[in-house]
Amino acid sequence: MAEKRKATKKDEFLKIRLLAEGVRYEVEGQPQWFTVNKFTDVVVVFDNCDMVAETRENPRSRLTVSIDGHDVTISEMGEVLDTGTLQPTAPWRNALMSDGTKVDYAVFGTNGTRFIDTFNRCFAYDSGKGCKFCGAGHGYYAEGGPSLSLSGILQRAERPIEATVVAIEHGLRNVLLIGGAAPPEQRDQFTTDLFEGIMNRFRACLDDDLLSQVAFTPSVYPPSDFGQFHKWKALSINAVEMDCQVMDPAYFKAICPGRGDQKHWFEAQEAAVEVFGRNGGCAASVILGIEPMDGMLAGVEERVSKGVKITPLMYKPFPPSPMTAMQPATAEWYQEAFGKISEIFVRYGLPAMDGAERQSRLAEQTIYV
Amino acid sequence: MTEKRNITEEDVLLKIRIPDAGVEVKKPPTTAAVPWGPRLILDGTDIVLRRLTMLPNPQAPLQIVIDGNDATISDMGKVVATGKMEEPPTWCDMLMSDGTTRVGDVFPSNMPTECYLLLGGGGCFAYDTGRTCRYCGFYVEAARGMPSPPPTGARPSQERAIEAVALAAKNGWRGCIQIVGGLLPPKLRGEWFTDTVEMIMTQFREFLGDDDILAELQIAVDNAPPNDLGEFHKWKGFGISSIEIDTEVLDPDWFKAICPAKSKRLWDEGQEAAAEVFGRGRGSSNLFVLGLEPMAGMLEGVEERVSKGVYVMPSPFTAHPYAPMAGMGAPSLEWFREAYEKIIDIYLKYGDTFDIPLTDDDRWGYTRRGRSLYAWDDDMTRRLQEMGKLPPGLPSQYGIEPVSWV
Repeated sequence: MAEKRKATKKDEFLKIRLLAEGVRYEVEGQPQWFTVNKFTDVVVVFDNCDMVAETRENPRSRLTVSIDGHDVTISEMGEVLDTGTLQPTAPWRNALMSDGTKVDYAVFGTNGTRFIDTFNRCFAYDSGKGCKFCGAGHGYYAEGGPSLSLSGILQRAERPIEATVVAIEHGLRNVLLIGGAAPPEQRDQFTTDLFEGIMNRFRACLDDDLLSQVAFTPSVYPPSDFGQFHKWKALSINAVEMDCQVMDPAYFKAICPGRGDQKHWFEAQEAAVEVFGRNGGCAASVILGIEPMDGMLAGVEERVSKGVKITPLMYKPFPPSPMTAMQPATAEWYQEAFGKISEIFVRYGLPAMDGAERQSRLAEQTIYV
Repeated sequence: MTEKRNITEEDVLLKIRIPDAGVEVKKPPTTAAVPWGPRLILDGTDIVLRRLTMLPNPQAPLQIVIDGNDATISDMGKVVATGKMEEPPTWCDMLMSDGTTRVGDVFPSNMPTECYLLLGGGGCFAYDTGRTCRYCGFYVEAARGMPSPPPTGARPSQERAIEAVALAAKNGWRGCIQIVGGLLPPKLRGEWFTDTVEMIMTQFREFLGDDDILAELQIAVDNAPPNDLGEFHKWKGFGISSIEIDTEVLDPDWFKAICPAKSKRLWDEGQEAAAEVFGRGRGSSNLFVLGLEPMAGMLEGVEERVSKGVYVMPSPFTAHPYAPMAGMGAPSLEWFREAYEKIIDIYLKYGDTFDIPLTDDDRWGYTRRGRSLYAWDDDMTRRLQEMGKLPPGLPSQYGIEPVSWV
């Protein structure tokens, strides 16, 4: 086994390239558990530094990811750049439910998080103002059928909750409650009732000690009454994610026209920080590469200064969104952006992003496609 | 000589990819220097390839090898096209009135189908007010090498440029003269604007001395709309034949984000007034940057503008290194292909509402059939060839040959 070393800037740059430029895949032998569902599962662990890197397919890329069983070779126009292995799945993904079904088949998620599906439609999309980058709103939620009632959502969530309970018993510790954008009239008490129903089911299956070890985070459009946050906290919800996605106000309006007033999002984030705590109590994803650097950085700094935990994600095309054909920025752009965001984090007392974090969690969303 | 053939979709795709090609020069071309850099004419189709980087890039899948005047293009090692380096027009070697300067050394252009005469003294209202168009790095770059920019409103001396254009025109050059500059501040969009246009046109007419040639050229003022759109009538009297007012972005929300210093309403109104005065189509144009905004809003905007008689010209987005959007990605090749296809559908739907139907327009300038500037020009030619409106091969691009085709 090769001796491990610290990740370098070069490793980080290669990791960024795998998403920014995409890769061509060559599959020699395929491990049994590897689904190759449009290659969304190809996550590579670099041999020499254990850095974990997502990939995306681009048939015109100069980069090639060759997969032979679990082994991966990354090359550029024939020159080998690095080697690695496919990231193994977390053991609890293969845990069995009472009827013998694998957890992975009963609830969406990634190696680190399971998603409990809430609203089955997206209000932004349904009102003709879906976020331009979002393939979930224009795909999964657009085909979500008639809007479900509270009892309908809870009924639909029962099996995913059952699967997630099994996963928690096998080590999972992150659960995201996520769905399409709720219509405005359902963002307050309706949402609180929904979370109460979901959390009651978890509480019925898990003892208090185990329950307290799990981070339950809803990802929502902000309620009009921020007092709802106190009610959610009382339900054992630990944090709230309100993803403003875009920082420059003019770009926010262009890219996320269905999200309404950006100021309301910011006020809600600050209220959530008050209730759940700074630097983790309220998270907000920002998609890097869809707005110019200067406005994005100014916005990130302003949000971080208010205690909001910003999660920078690399943009990648997300079919069938209106921006599907738009390509990510250059790898150099992302490296500069991550560097400057990291400086902001350090300035406000947060840990700098290390190389392993500098890529994307957006792949988590592509599971919906 | 290679037999002429119609343009195919593959030819158009190849042209879209050209800016990313690596170029290896085995033996330099023997053609004389031209102000617009080397251009390559593809065998068979006559498609013109410009924006050759002239830099080797062994990692690029697309490679161009130049060997004297011959060029070979290969994709991952497979030859996909051959061509010849473009011969410069004869007027490039003519001497100016000083007896020593070549016209080709002064001709104010980076492309031979268009040239530029300057309106103002080097500033841009958008840049100067901190609201530069987000894709544009031109003035950021210019400011870096300009310790003391000319004062706002200064009129540059461009007698030599005007003389060069007039000499070229007298000796066969035809194309579009753009009277252009950085975005004028609102206070200069009144009397100053009209006086400047008149001054330039007076000088040009004196050098040219031939109203028949003048009438063949497209002469376009390219800037903000004047404060009083009635000024267009005066400009027409000076010999102006076209107005270009570029919105750059068509979806109103994206426009506000990307061009914060411009007003979509004023720009749209200016274009419509220009179409009334100078004619629908060639008389009013709008360049926009294709690839900055999603397809649906862009197409909706194109159709709305074209239906109002505005000739909308897509210029594919590539990130300018000094722009706020430097480093940001352009859409995929397939996206550009689809966009071209749909924009051309719109043109063919409304083209016969222009002063001369687009499918029959052989006037020099933007609307000329068979132009080969952007890849979408070639895609338009492909469609016209399919319709039997154009023969295989392309017509002369800038007038140096007698026009004897069709």
